[in-house]
Amino acid sequence: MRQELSRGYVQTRVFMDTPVVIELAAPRHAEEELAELTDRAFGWFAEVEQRCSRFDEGSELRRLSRHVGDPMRVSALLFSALELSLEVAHLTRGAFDPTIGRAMEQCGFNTNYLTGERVAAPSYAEPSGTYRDILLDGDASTVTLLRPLLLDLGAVAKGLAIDLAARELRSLPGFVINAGGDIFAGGYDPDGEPWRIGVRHPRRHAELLTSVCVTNAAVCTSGDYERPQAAGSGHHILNPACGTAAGAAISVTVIAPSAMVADALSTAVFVLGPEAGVDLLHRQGVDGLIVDADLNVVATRGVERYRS
Amino acid sequence: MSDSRRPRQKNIGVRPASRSRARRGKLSGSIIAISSAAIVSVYALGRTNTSAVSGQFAVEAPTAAATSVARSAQAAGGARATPTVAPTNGGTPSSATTSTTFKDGTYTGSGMSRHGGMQVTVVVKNGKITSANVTSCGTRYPCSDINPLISAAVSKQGVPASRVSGATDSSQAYRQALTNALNQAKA
Repeated sequence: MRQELSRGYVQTRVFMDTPVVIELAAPRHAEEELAELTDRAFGWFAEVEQRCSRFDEGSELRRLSRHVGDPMRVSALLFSALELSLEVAHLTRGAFDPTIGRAMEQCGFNTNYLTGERVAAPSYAEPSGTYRDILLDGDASTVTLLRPLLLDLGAVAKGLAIDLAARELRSLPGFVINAGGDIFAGGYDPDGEPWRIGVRHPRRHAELLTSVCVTNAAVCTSGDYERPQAAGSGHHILNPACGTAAGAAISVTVIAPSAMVADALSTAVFVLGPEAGVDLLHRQGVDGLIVDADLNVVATRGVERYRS
Repeated sequence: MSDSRRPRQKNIGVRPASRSRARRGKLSGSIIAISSAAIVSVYALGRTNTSAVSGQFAVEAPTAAATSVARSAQAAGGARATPTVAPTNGGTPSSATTSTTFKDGTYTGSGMSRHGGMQVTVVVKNGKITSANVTSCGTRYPCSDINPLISAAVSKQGVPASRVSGATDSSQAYRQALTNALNQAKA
């Protein structure tokens, strides 16, 4: 549990149902300056949450979900999150699909964590919709939904928030942003070394599966141990193809230049399973570790260079 | 922030399913490029809710909002945190391990996970956290998972940082509950 401890400046706030911990390694900076930078970094989480919340009726995402048939102009932030989601959906032929909201609600992920209220599955969301029912126009910054959809940008939105926060902190010698186990490590640790990031063991929670040493990289993990459902025995990453829990992988960790990519791909690979998953990672030029139900570990060719 | 204020003009055009299928082959390797461009352009446009967080939650001076969040969480009785603050308000504010002294007393905060809540009671004596134990554990995961976090909260005098990818549900609920409790102790 050495990784749980730290020196330096640490702040925690809660966004998107997730504690977000920012750790700074900047011994020469005044604390006031670090406090201001940290506030600005957290501000990006608030911004992303405001725009991309699946639970807040007034969020831009929910407004878009209700706007069917003709183009709706959206913010650059929402457009970017949708664009990346759709690219990953295309690449995985729908194994990753941002229109999974309906399936998630049916499986019990329908609680607004801020109010504790249940969010009713809207009647306008048809379960048969897929990512192919979303059209983007980059020139006009518009989105057209061809049918009612309940969009969920969870995996990508949190990653985007981490990346924007990381950009806010990039002038510092070192920082780690940890949003519920999805991490971006910038610069170097207090000893001037790459940050050593632990990867939690998917079954023995107090243990690490391994550690990776990274700088200016995201390390995101999707696992079946994160958020078991309120009812039933499935877990929270759903295979959009069938609306049921995917089985082959129990934990996927992706190392990528951005948390957006690492988060989206770890989710996609979790659904695809070890074989197709490791192919996808190789094709995308990122590295990762996949643990299957028998605790076998499949790794990309490049993972070794992060181990020291 | 001084970059272009215009939205990114990336000409991807309207993309019906048939055309996107044709594009798939040459998209290989593009996810990283898309994400890099997105981060730069969205960052350059700036936040719209700048008033919500900037400067309000200095380490030594949490706001009234922070207190009300924590108190409402406490009032919920630990089964579930029910912060009344809107998402635009910057979430549940901060807790820091640096140069923060706490008010003596006993504080309770709640953290929620998707499958149950957790209540943490923090005792502060002489300005220091002397314990931060779980007093109610409604999660399906064993709360013993977070014993190392409890020790770390006391030794670090705040919410412990973590450099581990892949959070357990109980560790998240604990951090959330501890953040809420400590916001009261700083108020």
